[in-house]
Amino acid sequence: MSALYSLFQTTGLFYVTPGLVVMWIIGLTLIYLAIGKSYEPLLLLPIGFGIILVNLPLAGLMTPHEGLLWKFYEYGLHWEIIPPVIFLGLGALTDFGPLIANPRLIFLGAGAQAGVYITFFAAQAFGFDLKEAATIGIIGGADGPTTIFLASKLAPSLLGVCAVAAYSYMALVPIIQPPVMKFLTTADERRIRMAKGRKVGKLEKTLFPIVSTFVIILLVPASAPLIAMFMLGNLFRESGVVGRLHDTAQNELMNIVTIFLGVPVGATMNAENFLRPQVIFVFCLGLFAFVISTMTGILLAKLMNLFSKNKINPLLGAAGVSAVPMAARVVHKVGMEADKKNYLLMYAMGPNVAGVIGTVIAAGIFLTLLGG
Amino acid sequence: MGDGVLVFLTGLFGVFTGMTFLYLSIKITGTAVAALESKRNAREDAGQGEDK
Repeated sequence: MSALYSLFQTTGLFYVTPGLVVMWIIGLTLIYLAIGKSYEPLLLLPIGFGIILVNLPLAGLMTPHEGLLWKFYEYGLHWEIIPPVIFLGLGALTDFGPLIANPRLIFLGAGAQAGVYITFFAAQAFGFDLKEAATIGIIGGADGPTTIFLASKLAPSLLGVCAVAAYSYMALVPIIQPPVMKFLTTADERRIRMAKGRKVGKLEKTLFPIVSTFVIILLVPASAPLIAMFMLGNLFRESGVVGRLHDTAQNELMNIVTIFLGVPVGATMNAENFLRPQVIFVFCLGLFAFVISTMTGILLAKLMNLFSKNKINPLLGAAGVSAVPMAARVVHKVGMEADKKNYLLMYAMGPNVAGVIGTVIAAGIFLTLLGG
Repeated sequence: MGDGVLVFLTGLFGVFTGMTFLYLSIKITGTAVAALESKRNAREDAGQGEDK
């Protein structure tokens, strides 16, 4: 009998606690949302699986220097490899044409970042320290890789929860944003048609990533890892001479690093780290950040209309949160509800990609001021 | 809280400054490219005129 008991002690079953079971349920819920509801499946599925793996007793997958997932985490995230490589792929996928054609829309991408800083302030009021508050605030930028990048530098203990909050809310953009957009705009404002943008040539599109790299990295050097790779990916795309690299960056490479991003992010969420009251505040503040970023983008568009002859449809301000291209699609849909012939999608892509740049700049400023 | 206010204000100012510089650089690049292209078009037109 005692031999059987000793044998039982060598199994993981002996060490199962209620906390671990709760984490399994959370992991399974994320997997269900990914498969059953198609909520950001590329990330939520591996994150959910990573949560289950790290909460299996005795598996030791996150044991420092030994565990497989610890190695993915250490060399992928802690060494700042994976988020910049994801940005390489994002750059290869991004068309800056709509932004170059209508450059004043770039300010809507900046306006939405006000939500990041307001949430930073709110998180401090809830007792989070400066680094944790910055990590929570950046959720409002609606940019998963940037959130993970900043969290791994400033508050690794919040990495998992902030990543899950960011990706969950990004998936919920079509539910979170429309009520805010309708609340802040009148039907007449939603019907505003944008002036047609000019045609952007190949030379201008090719010069954009080079010029932007100089401007942004000279101003905010801490944003270099993300901006450099983002613009390199875009240069692959626009130069037209490295088709194979462009293709690899936006497809195979992006897919490979997505696997190695999701699983270790989930693996940071062990029961003792995740099951604490703070986590509920992070989710609430993340939602607050999303709503405020949407609001500040829209309000800035309305403010710009006071001084501009060519009116901007204020719905475009909501696309200033990154969440590419979901936020732009939501703007288009809400605009169409007010006027069936008002096609806002291409215009919304301008502030949408500007939002990506704005979030990276915001993260770079946090890193500069708060240190790594 | 004092540090928080500083980060808040510096951050907002920094993002808008960054985006303003990016806006100006797009404008300047656009103007330079347009000037270059109009010069090239003028040269091509002049070349065609000579052929005729």
